[in-house]
Amino acid sequence: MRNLIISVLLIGIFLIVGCVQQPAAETTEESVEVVEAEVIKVGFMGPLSGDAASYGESIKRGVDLAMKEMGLDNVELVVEDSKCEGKEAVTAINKLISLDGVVAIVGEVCSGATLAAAPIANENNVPMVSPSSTSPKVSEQGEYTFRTVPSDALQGDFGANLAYDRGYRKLAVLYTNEEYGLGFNNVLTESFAALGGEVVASETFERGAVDIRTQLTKTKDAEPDVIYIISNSPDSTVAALQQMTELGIEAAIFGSEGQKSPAILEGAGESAEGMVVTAVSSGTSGFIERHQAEYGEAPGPFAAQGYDAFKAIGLAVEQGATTGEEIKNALFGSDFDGASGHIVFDENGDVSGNYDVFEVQNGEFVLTS
Amino acid sequence: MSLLAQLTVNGLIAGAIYALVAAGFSLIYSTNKFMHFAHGISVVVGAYILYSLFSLIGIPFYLACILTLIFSSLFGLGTYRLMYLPLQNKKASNVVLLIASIGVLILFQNVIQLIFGPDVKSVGYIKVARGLNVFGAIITPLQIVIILISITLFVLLYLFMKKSKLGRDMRAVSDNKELASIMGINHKRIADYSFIIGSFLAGVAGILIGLEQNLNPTMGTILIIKGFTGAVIGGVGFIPGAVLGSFLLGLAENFSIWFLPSGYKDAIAFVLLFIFLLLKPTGLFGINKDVKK
Repeated sequence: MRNLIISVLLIGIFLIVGCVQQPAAETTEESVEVVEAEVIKVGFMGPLSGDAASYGESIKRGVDLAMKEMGLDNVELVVEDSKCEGKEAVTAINKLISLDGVVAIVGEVCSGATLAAAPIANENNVPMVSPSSTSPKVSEQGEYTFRTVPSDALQGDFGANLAYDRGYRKLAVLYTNEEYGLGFNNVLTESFAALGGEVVASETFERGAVDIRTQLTKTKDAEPDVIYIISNSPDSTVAALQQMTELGIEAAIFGSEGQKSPAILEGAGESAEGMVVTAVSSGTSGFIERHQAEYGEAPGPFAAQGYDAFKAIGLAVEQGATTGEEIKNALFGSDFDGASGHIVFDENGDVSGNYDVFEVQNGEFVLTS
Repeated sequence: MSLLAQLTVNGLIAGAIYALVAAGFSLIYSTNKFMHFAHGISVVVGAYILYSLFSLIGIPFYLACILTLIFSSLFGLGTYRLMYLPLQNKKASNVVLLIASIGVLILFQNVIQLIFGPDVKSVGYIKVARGLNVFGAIITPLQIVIILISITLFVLLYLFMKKSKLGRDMRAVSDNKELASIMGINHKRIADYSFIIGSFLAGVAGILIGLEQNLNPTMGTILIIKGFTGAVIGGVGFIPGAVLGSFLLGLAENFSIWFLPSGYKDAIAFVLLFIFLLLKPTGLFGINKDVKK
């Protein structure tokens, strides 16, 4: 009797399972096209909290806009906050690859974090496209590291020439004590010295530091005629600019592209007047208009580069690439007009680039050349 | 500009800012005997309240300051009543309280970022201008005020702890909670007062630091680390010592990078912290509690 009941139960279970499986099998047969359009996950990693969060948010807007405009239904964006720190970036990329199974990543934002994450991207054959890491070292990180922003090997040289051409001969540098600042400082000081100028001071501060008085005191003592600020922390830049005013430093002020941020103008106010900033493209006029229409604001720092980083990956997916390796191969063949200019990656995954020169006049960045 | 004079002034400004944070932290520690690292966020909350009231709503500055101080005190009392006290009632150890306080620090950092965004904000009450020349060093009027308030705090806290009834009760609870209870001192009431006064000091710090350094949601972490280091150097349970220790820290940091590369500035602070924790955990002016036991 017991055996009978068990047998009936088993038959019942088989029947039910069978019934459930039957239609399921039918759906898979019916939707062959849907299989092709399987969801492809793309990661985004950047600082969404911490002192560099304004860059992360601005880039994320560019990425979201690109995603919306491309209308890729089969692409899902997975967002991780890496706080611009190496160790957080490693955690973030491990989660994106192992847990979420992303096939490509837009990020990281800060050079130090990109360098920390790059080996993991290479090992797992997942391409990373950074919208903003400008350290020259990023070029050497293997074939899975790309960027839509030109290397500081170019910008440092450009900045040195610009300062020299404007007649400055005694340069002081104030840079953040991490990959971005160190890399830029090396190129800048070497280029300026090669041109025949003199580097009178080169002082560093921790990213996010707001007391830079002693570095500035030493700088003032060296009597430079131009001070170059290399910083990826708006907080520190605002503090440095205000403290320069307080200490009565009258040298001309130059800034790297990270200084072209509305947060700095708002925070530093009049202390930012006259600052000259070398910056990568903030976007074609079409992109600026579309960004304005979408968010009601002009694009923030690297929004255009973020747009292009996602677009490069999106185009690769449109061409049928589904794995990290296929996307990487497609990226090397990228050739499109993006928001920041024409995008073609060289063998290091770098783009060439031109720089605009802005000057802060009446609380706004004005394009001077 | 004399370099020596300017570095001394830079050190004093930095020290005064650390002292503002250290004073409240040390007051709360001395009475409650656990590390209230969320004190850092009390300072930031104070600064953002001032920013909201004065810069966003447009309440007159001095009224905004008074409201900020009241809010800060209530915020501190709230953290004690709503978090530490229930945990203490569950017999949580001081390590649990320490972790809880770090949790509050991170929680409110993110809440502030959600409300105000990650960008740097400035209160904008004082216009940034070239400072005054005092003995060959440049210093702004606000910085002079900050240094004077820190020194005043040092004197007032010393008198408060030594002379007032509440101060005496606090020291009694600090020395021996049970014995103080037997003597009729309600240690929970004393803890309330310590959080109210300590967080009032955080409000003072928030106003002055907000004016001097601008505001961002993550500033609390570095402030409490420096304040804590200053307190350890001076003697963490001895409040006036914490103020002096902070000044020493500020001066040491700024003088050391005169001849060392400037990247070592924070390293100097932590080396000092380690030296004191290893060799003189009671700090320069602290009392050796073991002897008393």
